[in-house]
Formats: sequence, C-alpha cells, structure tokens
Amino acid sequence: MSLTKLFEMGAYTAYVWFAYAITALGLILIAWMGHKRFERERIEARRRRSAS
Amino acid sequence: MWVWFHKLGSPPYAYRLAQRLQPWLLWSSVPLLLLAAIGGLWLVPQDYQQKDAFRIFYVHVPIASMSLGIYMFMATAAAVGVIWRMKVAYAAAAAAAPIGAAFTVLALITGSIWGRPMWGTWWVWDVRVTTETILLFFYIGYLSLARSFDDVSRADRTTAILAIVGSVNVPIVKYSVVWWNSLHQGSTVLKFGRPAMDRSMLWPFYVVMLAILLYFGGVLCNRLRAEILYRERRSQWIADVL
Repeated sequence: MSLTKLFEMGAYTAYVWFAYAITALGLILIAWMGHKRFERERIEARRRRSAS
Repeated sequence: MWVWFHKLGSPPYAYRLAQRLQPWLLWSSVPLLLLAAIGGLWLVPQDYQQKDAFRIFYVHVPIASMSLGIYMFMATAAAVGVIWRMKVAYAAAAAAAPIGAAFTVLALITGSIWGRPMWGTWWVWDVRVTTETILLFFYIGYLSLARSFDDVSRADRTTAILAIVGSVNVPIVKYSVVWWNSLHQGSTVLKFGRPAMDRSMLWPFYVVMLAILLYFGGVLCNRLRAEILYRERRSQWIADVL
C-alpha cells in the first residue's frame, strides 16, 4: 500500500487522521502523566525517608 | 485462587507485582497498537456507506468500550474494598479513575470527530452521547470527592459508594441505543450473535482491543504503584523498594 493511496482516501481523510492523532496523543499523555505521578510519589517517599 | 487473592491484598506484594508487570504490559501494547493502526488506516477495505470515515471506528469503539470497562473495574475494586476492607482494592479504584476519565474524554472527542462527517455536526444531545457525558461526570465526581478529604480511609469509603452507585449508568450507556431511538448507530461487534461487520474488517478491532487492554494494564500498574507509595509512605517496607 503506497503513500499516494493514503492521500487519495477521499474527503474524510482529515477526520480520520485527526481522530487517530488525538487518540495517539491522548494515550501518550495518559502514560506520561501516570509516570510523572509515580516519580513525584517516589521522590516524596525518599525525601521523607531521609528526613526521618 | 483465594491464597493469591489474599496475597494481592498485601501492599508490598501488589507493589512488587505491579512493578514486574508494568513494562511487559505497556511495551507489548505498542507494536499491537501500531499493527492495528496500520490495519485500520491502510489494510481494511473502505465501508460502502461511510467510506473512509468508518476507519475512526478502530479508535473510537475500543476507547469508548474501555471507558465503560474501566468504570466497572473501578466499581468492582471499590466494592471489594468495602466488603473485604482491602486497602489495595481502594488504591486500584483510585488509580483507575483518572485513566477512565481520560478514556471517556477521548471517546467523546473521537465520537465528535466521527459525528461531524456522518451526522453533519460536532455535537448532538443524542442519548448515547449524553449518557457517556454523564459517565464523565461520575469520573470527575469521584476524582473531586477523593481530593476533598484529608483522611485517605474516609475518602476511600465515600468514593467507593459513588463508584458503586455510578455503575448503574454503565448498562444505560451500553444499551441506550437499544432502549431509545438514537442517532448513534447500534452495537456492531460487542453484541449478542454475530458481529454486524465483515470478517475482513474485524481483525484490527480485535488487535486494538487487546492492545488497549494491555496498555490499560500497564498504565494502571504505574498509577497503582504511585497510589501505594502515597498511602504507605509511613510504612517500613517502603525503604526496601525505593
């Protein structure tokens, strides 16, 4: 399947790409925010350990 | 089975299990998601009515199904917490809530993008769309309520009631298109009997469902570890895992 075929998909292509891009971005964001939350808790737990 | 269930109730065991499972679940979902995206965008044939716009099905339907599934997971975990007084179950419910809320937002956005070429509008107060929006309010309510308490155990008990009560909305969302006249199309795959789709169009859906389940498992493990760290910050065993 060539790239040309992809861009010939018709008038609905933009909506399809938009939906896939938003979903990909959302999934990356969910994973990244979960990772940041975990890192924050780990740093906080370490800080408490060293303070006590 | 019961031995394992009781072991799972131990925060150190659940933390270590989540730590071990998380990279496997998360990374195994990535090639499957890519395969499903290639399948959905390139390999499956065009729909005879919706043309290429139907390809949004492969992102919208799995995400929307998971938004309901995650709520049921959250309500079940909350019920387990209430019945067996299991701290890890409460932590699992709290860990699942923000993921479920994000999935619901994504389901509404992708649905809106699909609605524009098919219905001619970005938004309509259709029964399926409205009940899915109510589901989002339940998630937001759960998250807001959890943050309004200083005492974690009081927050757990209160939010558990909201999660259990809110689970009534899940079958209403699922069967809204059957019970009422709706602009939204009926169930295509997740229904009794044969799927209303040709087999050549179905395989990316099964791949993306599996990928999304693995992805959810992976991100849930990460958030569960964060929840356990937050709740057990005064426990001695934490020093061993840091």
